[in-house]
Amino acid sequence: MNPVFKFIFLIFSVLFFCFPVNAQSGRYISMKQKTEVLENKNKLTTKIDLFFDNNKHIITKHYHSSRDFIMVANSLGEIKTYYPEKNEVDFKQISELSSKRNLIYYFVNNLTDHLGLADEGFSLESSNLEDQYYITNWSPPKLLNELANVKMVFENGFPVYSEYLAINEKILKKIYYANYRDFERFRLPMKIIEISYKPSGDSIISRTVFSDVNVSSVADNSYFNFKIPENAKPVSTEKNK
Amino acid sequence: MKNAITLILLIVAVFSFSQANAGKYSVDEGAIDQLFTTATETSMISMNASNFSANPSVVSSPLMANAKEKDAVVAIVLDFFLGGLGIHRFYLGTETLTGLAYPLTCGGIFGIVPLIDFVVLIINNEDISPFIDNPKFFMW
Repeated sequence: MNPVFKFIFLIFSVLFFCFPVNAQSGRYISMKQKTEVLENKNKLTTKIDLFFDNNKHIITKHYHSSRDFIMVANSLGEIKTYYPEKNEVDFKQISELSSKRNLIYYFVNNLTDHLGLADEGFSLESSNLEDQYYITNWSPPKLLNELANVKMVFENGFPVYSEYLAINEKILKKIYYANYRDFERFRLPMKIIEISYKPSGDSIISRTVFSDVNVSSVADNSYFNFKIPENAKPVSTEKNK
Repeated sequence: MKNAITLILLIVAVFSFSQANAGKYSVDEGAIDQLFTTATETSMISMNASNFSANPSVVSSPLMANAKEKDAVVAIVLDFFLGGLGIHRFYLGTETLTGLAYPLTCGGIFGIVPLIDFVVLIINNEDISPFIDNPKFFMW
């Protein structure tokens, strides 16, 4: 190859690979999350400070509970949990808690057409219009043989309702996405209500409310680069039991 | 006058119909509020390590163990000086053929791949776990 062409090829290749990296830069999202779970007239409340680095796809959550802890999850589902009170740390791999399986990831990256269903192996079966709603029906992967169908309902291009239907045609779960707010490059439902139906007929209601959402081009909070102290001790397995 | 009344009735009918449908896929937040208000607060959810260990599918991460051993700075320095030979990839851990592909492709497609590896390693120096034991030629 002519050295001139080789040089031009090099320059264009570098620009081609570097620009998408730069285009993604400056995506630091922080918010407060309050989740309440209701079961048998008992209510459990969790308050979380959530930090999402959309460049590295790292989600850091500071749970404010009876025992405060900080959980850092990456896209591989590698979870580091730090307990500041006892200066203890725990490492786990939980693919379900991967940063790329978090709803925030899908909303921030405008992957709202499937909200992770496509990544979980669901396939689009049909779609139709019903008044102002656009409805998609998804068939589950073979592994989820108890599930018959997932229905997603969109209004103005954003999901407002999801319904999980079992093979016995009973509804397993309903999810409502409400109070959408516009942020730089994405929209987020500030309230998510999930109703899960147990075989006994009872239900578990979960209500998540987001607030104080902040989108920044710089990591303006130390939680975005949260480092577990080097002298943190590992949590012993006996304590976990 | 008759046309105006018809038009008004039509608008009211359309509005009523759209309002009726608007509630079809929305939850009665008032009823939900009532349920939460009357519920008894038990205790804060404690999603600590014990919750995870109760799950049999949870295993310790070998990747994380490796991530602790690999140093981003070492990988960046190796890439800078010996990137064309793919030495940084052998350090991070990869398939033998992937590492050999660097010298076999004139230093990783004339140095482009190690150059991009270099940039990507610098950008992601806080967490290089995606590049550890990565068998792909393009690790990013």
